[in-house]
Amino acid sequence: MTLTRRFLATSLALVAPSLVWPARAARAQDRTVTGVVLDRADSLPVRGMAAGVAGSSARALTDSLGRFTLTGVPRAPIRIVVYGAPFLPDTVLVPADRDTVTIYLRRQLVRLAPVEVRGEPLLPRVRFEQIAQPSTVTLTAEEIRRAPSVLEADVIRAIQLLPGTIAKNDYSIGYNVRGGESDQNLVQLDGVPIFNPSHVGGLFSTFDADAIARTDFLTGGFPAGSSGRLSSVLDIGLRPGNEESLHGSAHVSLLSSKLLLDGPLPGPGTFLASVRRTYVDAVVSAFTREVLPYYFTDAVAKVHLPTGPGGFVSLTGYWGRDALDLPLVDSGETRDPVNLGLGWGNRLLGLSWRTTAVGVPVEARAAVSAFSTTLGLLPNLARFDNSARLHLANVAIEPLSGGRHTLRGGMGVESYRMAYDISSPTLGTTFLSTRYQTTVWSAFVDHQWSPGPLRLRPGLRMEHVPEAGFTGLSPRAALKLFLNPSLAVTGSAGRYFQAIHSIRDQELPVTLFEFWIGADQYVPVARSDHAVLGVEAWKGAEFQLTVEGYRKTFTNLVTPNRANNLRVRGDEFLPVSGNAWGVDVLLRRHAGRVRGWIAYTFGNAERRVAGVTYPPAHDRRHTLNVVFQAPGPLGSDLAVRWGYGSPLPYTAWVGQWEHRVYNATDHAFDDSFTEPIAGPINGARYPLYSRLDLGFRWQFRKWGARWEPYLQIANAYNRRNAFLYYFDFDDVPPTRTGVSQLPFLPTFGIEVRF
Amino acid sequence: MRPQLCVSLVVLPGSLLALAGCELTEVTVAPGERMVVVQSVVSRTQSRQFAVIEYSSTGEQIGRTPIGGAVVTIEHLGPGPCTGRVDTLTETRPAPPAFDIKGVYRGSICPPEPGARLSLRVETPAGELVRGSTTVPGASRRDITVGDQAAVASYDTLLFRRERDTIRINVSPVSARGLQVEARHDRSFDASFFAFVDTLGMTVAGNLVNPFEGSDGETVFRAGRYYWITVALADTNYYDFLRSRSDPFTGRGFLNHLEGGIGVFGSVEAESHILRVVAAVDDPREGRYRVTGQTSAGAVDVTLEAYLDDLQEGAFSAFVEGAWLGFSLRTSGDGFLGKSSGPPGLSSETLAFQFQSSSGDTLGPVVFTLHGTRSTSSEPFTLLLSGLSGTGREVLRDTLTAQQISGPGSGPSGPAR
Repeated sequence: MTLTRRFLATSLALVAPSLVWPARAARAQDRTVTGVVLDRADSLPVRGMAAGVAGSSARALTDSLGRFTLTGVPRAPIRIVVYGAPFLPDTVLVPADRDTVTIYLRRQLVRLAPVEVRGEPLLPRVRFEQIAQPSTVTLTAEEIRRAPSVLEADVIRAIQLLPGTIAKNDYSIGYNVRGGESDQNLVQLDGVPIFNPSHVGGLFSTFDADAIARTDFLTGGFPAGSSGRLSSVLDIGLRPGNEESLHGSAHVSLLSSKLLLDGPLPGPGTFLASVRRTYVDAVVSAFTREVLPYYFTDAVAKVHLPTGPGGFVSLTGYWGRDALDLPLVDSGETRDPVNLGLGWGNRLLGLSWRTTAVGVPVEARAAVSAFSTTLGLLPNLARFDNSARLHLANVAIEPLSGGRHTLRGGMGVESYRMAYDISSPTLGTTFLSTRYQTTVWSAFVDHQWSPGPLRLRPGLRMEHVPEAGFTGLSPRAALKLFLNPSLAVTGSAGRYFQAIHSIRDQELPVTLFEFWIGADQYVPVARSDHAVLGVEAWKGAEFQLTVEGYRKTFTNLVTPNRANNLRVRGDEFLPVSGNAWGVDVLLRRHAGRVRGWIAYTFGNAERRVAGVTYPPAHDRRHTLNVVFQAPGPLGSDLAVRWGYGSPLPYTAWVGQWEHRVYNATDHAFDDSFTEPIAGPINGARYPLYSRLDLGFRWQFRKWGARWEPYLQIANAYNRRNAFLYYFDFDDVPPTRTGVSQLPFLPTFGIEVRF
Repeated sequence: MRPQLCVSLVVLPGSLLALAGCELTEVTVAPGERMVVVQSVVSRTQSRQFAVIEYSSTGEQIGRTPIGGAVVTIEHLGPGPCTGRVDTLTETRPAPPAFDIKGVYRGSICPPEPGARLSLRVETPAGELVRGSTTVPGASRRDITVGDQAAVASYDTLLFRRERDTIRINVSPVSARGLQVEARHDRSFDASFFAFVDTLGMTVAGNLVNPFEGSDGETVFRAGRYYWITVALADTNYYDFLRSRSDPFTGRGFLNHLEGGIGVFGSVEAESHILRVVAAVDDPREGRYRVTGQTSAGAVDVTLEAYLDDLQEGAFSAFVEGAWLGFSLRTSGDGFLGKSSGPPGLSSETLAFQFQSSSGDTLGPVVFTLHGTRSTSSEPFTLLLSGLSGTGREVLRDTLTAQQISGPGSGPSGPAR
């Protein structure tokens, strides 16, 4: 408790300067035009819009209250252009004698492909000019939806194609960022972390691409306001509902069918709701006598309510469930039923509140996020239950934004509860019953100073985990130095802590779920230090080139200790350390008939456990992804992805032995099974990986709706990329075979928008 | 290398199976690295111990590669009266040798006390040296109850009413890491039930079903059978040997406690009891049958106490007790009691039953089969008896008479059960 009190006092001291900063920094400029951008439907402020003066280099992004500040504006009539999805761009004339302006944006009624308007700033370009934050990529909903995919558009599959990111195989949405493990990636929906964002054992992500507004992906050097994980932040924002009338879409793919509705509420505000479910089980039951005992379903909803000038309350909910229920034994007079059951799902509810207090924007959030899984011979023969729950509350203030100084500070608390139970009620035995309870108190201050060609962004974050007796100070810094208006040197460095870990063996090729544990007296808080240095260049407003080199260290990671005693707490893991370095290159065209990106990653990672150094399973030297969209044949929109990956490591067998089964009744071995003898961990490498995916999408209007049939072809040249190898040393000579990753796989579906 | 076509087309909506990968072409790899594999579990309650010693498979030889000519010793590190003694296991060849048993070493050792440490040393003719040590487990108290009966001594027989009884096991250890519980029908090799826990306590319900056998599961304890239930306390080495195995993806997982080799040198303290499993009798086919007759090998006068299986229609098990070919028989067997496809209107059922027994000094272990058509009116009916030796030779063929003498199908004239 003492530590916690001390931490709170220190946190307040950390945040306090940001409260007094406005008075010092509010100096008038020669001609500074300030404005606010509001949603025409509900007068709510719109964040992240690009505002610029036509014919001038003055540009800015709107802050959380929709405010922007344009400096160095000539004392003459000007045209201010405001642009950003999902709104239609707007231009307003500002007379010479007026320095403030309010701009109302109208939402696009039908979402279109990115609009190309020459002379207007693009969001990434504005970010380049305004913000010192390297290693950030934004994907729009349209880019996610139109990227080649398997069965359905998938936000995490799209993220896997960005620089710095490695997907170990086609079967897992788990990804590794700049040498980190997959449990080091924070995935959050409207600011609320989600524990295991996948369906079908990690094959698909939980997010309905149609409900997403925008996705920001940070691969390193996060600012002080972001933390919780060591390697990446994937921030997925749900779009608000349409404010003018009821709209919707229906989507039938080979995987699932889904329905999305959004529109205005009876009072002020909007809603969005989407429901998705696989239907194979229903089809199988309807047309055959067979039973497919698996389905997944999810639902997401968002309600957005204005609460006054510049304020709103937003409620986001998500519920998802995967269920496998295979009856093995029917119940009878003298016996209990036995079903093979596997079910898991995430649930979250997040409440965001934004308002202005004493002229300072305040944003507060309270949320609960939970994950649970049950596996076993149910109901009583054997069962494994795992649950993870997070309660969080945080508040951030942004007393300065849009000018030379931006300042943000905040505090928060995250309370994690994880439970593991393995038992057999039938046998009257509990094999494991373990609880983890971890609380993370945090405070941060994040400041950016923009003198001339320099953008300097120091920050500081403090985290306190009382259960682990841990208090950590995380300095962060980012800089951008413009060599000319279209070329800048960028860099960032910082220290990052992570209080929860996955106890899953990260060397396994498939991520079913992460099994989370929290820091306490036995489990350490993991740490990583990042250093990033690069350049970013633009040609016009379309072409972007970023090159970033990075170096990371990892301390206090964990890997499962297979020799652990389930009755002993604290021996369930072995400590791991490591490091990674590499270079990421992104060449991206944001607009035009042919648009997309080329992402190249050079990576090098290693891990150390119990004195053994080895490359982790994601240690890939070269990764190249070419992704573009262009007009295609037969009036289609064509999407192409070609991926190349140099060989990934795996652990080869060097022999095998017969593991015998002891019969205690007869005191003899009476059976056996084959055990592999492993060579050096990850001492061998699979062949290189390559895959070409194609997507075709058509549009037509019929019966008052827009129809979009599509055809996706995964692995178009049917390359057999190795997924797993199996060895047989009972053969003479010994042999190896294996299983490939995704084969040639055409899929199709249709979307209807009304 | 033969090119293989591997194309998955999704022809049905949502055919997720199409996502499955294809099998990769088999290729030859370099021979592996040879390791000495030693597997030995010392049982404190057995007088003779053994060790299996072989090389791991490297792809240079088909089949297992036993190691002959090794020097295998077990040293008693104490505490206890055996402290300091070194026992030797020697390569043995039981008669008659049924298969290549090279690499199996057996021998008597001084009985260790619970908590005593044993050290194994194996030196192969090639000079490889493997070492391991174990702390012998033991219990100060074992509480094993079946229903309301407590087990008193090893190999005592306990009545087990499968619908309502539960086996409760609780062990107070002197030294132990885990518990292995197994139930075997007539000591056959396949365990009907096999579980290990680290709680030193377990309950086993009589109506337990193995969901992975049969189309609708398989009854673990079938009425009409004897089961050997063995409770073995395990040391850390054997418990780790039981609970761990390497996964094929990372090659990690098996917990090896040997130096210079792979495998196990562990120890157990085992105790066995016999369960006589019964159930309520409510089907006309269930109950007791008396089987009598004179055969060329001797007289037969036994009873079959038959119980139908809960899950498999017509399957039954029965206790066989009485005079059999000149000696007293007490065993159990399995059979089939179902309606035959006889002429319409004829009330008859097939009875087929098989059990294994030694039938005196001259015949050795024999599998006996009884086959006939059961009378549904509790009248005597004929059973054909045949006996097959272990080599498949028919050693006996004769005719016996059977009559249901108790049970719902025995009729009003039948003797009360």
